Amino acid sequence: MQKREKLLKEEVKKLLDKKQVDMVIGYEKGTLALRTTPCFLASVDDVDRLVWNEFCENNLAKYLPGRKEKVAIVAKGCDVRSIVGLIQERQITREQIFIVGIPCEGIIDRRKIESRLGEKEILEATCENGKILLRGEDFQEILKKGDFLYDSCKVCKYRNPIVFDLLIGDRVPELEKIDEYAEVRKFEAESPDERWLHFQKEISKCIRCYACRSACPLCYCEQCFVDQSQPRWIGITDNPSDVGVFHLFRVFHVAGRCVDCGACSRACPMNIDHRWLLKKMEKDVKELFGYEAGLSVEEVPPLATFKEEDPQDFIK
Amino acid sequence: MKKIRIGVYVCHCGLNIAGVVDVAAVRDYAKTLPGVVVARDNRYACSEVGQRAIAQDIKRHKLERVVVASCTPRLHESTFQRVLGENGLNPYLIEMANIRDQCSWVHYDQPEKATQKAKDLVRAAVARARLLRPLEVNTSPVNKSAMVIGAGIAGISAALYLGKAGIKTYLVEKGPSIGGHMAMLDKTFPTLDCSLCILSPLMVDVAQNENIKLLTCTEMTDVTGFAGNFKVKLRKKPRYVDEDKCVACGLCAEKCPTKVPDEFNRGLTMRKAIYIPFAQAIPSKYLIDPERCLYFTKERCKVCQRVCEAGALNFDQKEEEVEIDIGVIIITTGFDVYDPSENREYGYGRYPNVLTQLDFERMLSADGPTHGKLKRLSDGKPIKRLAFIQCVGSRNLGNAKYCSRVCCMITTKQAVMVKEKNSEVEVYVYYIDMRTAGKEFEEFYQRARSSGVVFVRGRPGEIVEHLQTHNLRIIAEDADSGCLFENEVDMVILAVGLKPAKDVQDLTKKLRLSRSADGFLLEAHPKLRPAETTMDGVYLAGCAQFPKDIPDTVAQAGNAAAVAAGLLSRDVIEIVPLNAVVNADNCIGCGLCESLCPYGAIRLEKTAQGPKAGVTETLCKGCGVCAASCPERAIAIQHYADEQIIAQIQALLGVR
Repeated sequence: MQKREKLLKEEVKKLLDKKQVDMVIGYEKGTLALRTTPCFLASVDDVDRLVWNEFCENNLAKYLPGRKEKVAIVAKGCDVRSIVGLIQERQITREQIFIVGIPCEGIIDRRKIESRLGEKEILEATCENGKILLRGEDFQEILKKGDFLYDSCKVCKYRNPIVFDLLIGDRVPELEKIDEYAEVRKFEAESPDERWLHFQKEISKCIRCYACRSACPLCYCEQCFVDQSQPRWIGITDNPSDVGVFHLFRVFHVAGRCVDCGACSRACPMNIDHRWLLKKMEKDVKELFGYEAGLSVEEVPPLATFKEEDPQDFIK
Repeated sequence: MKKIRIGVYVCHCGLNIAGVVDVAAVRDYAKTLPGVVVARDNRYACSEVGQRAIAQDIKRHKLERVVVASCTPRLHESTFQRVLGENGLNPYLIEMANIRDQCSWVHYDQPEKATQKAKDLVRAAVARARLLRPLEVNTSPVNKSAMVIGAGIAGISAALYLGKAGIKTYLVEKGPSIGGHMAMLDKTFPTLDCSLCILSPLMVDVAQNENIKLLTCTEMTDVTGFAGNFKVKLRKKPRYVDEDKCVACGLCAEKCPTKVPDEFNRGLTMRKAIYIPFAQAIPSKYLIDPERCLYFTKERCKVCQRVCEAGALNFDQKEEEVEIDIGVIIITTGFDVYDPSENREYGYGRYPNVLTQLDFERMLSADGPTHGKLKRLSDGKPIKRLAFIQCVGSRNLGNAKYCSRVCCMITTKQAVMVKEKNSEVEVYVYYIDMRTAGKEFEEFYQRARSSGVVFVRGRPGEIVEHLQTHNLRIIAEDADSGCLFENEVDMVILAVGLKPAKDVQDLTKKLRLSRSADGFLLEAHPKLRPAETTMDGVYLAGCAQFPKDIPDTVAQAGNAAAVAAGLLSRDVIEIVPLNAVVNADNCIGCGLCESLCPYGAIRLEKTAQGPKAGVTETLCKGCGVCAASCPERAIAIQHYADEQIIAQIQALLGVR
């Protein structure tokens, strides 16, 4: 990991030194343990701030739409798929960005660690050789990394970026024998009433803070449907019908676009499992249109095109 | 905001509306709506009297908007638009509420509720009318020439109607000769006219008409533009024979060493690799089949070049790209016959004595495989017993639900012809129902019955071939007697259905046309606009629209030609301004509209503020796909702007 970080710094230095890009978007050390913060580097002198470790959870693609300058972006496998989506949707051009792809072996879910440690305050966290080393004022603990990965990382199929201008270090082995739709199938097997209850229960936690929207790299509309008042598509309260509509709309708005980067779930202060419905939508798109989002810049997303042979039996 | 002055006219439509809806109550209710300065009821709002009432009020009450509560705008919107236009109001300042179809007709048994709904619809219409904006109608000059695609009897007829009217017409045919399926027929029902005897004079007319430019071996590759101004790209395949030099002496074909199954005779005879499709072909010029010619496949031979006295052979001919500008397009691409071997039906393709009607038509022809003699193809023995099976590839749930309309009469015709050639031949027709609707069709069918043709009501499940004799055993239930009827015949003819031509899908994409569920091209209106498509300036005729017989095809070709000539007779075409408009400030340049627009009318354009969507007004049909899909609501459809629709919905829901 440290080797990769060193390599990353060297390459980023070169990019800025040769003025290949105007700016680099990457990660720097966070103010709290277990955290990193997005950073924007424009000068070679800043490059030492860059870090790469198992806590680099943010999907930096969020910062791309609307950029005017030429930027390099540090991107994991999932982030790259979001970037591909943004290029397809013309929020940024391929020429304008330099993708510094970085193979990733999974990001650590800080909430899982925090809930394990309870009230104890972690002051320092490092990860090495599959072990997480945690230090506090009066304790030290070693945990197995594999037990504390994000759920989306556990079923990741693209740990190596598929589109990049530069790959940092060697590729990592892809996960084998993953069953990404196990939860979806369980959900599908439920009766409509059970599903509705399931849904209601999950969204009852929602406080309508829109953190999921703000974290999602594909939510870039200048005016979101939730903010429109003429007409008002959705009420602004947190009663179940308004909240339900918000979550259903959100899922539909990213249908065929979501790459399961997990940003929404990470951002949610109420621990709503956003991935659960998104994964169902992802599976549906895959089965209906044979399409997986964010794999190719040239491909046209299924909802941005129509073919005569598209399934139509849903029209009654 | 200044109050807009609105007039409301509630129509009785005789008793169509007034029989159910309390028209006077709706009128009085309309008077209470904000902005309404006058409300009247008329027995017939569309009549002279009704129109005059509106015209007078526009002047007297200084109306700024008009609401007519009557029938559907599809019927009378243009009538009322004209009234507005003639009286100094912009024609787009009218709104119609359909209180006939949506109130009195559907709720005929609930007059009170129907009346309440009529009031609701009028309230919504008034709310929208208030926000309507005047629109300017643009015009564009009309190119006064036409293109007809497909030169069967439909295309030939349409081209001749246009050519004779003095309209420059390009007749485009992908095959080497015009004539289509009709040229393959021996006789036509119910008069038993020789098909080519009546067709070939028309073919010659096409060749000689100074206004018709015939383009054979040619396909359309691309089309852009709009009614009155189409730009078409054509690809002309080489004949490898110079059309100006060839005199069709036939020496080349006589000497050509390569034999190929002859498509014109349905593969039942052989032709040469250099050939003319049939004796009466127009243009009467030979051509080389490059897939079979020895020179093109193995680089040797060229015997045709050596024997041609006219020196017409030209092996270096290349594909040509031709571009033409035209004002209208008529599609007459015809049909394909159903191939029963697709579903292994009745042993077609495996049993040599099972033929389709079209195969048998060639057998009946003097130029066919048996020169018109009733002989079996398997062993040349004379045919003594013959059976027809109806509805093969029609009227079943598997491939075509529709009735192909012509097969019953073709069978009747062929049965009569067989009886006329040899009355000793026993002819059996297995049918579900015989459909003989048409002038003199039933009489013709009776003629077949009285000449001894046996009609058996019941379709056989399958037929079995005798291995040695190649005779065919048919078992079917005769529904009239309720008995099982076993029969052994020398030959079976399958009355195959007509299906949409294979290339239609490609054509629909290029011209952005619609197809009906059966796969045939969709007409603009099944009763009132049968020869028009949903695209302005694009018309259709013949079996491209649906299976039909020759008289109907010719009639529809005339219809298409008349509508086409109507458009071409104008100097300019009005462009209805119901198109999309982009608010560039809101556009984020995602291009979703561009990829979804079925008409290629909206494209991203480079601007100083980045890519922004731009509309080509002449291509835009105002369908609203772009407006509905725009994530930023940056696109509006003129006359159907969101604010207008929202006001209408809010009024309907009683939202204040």
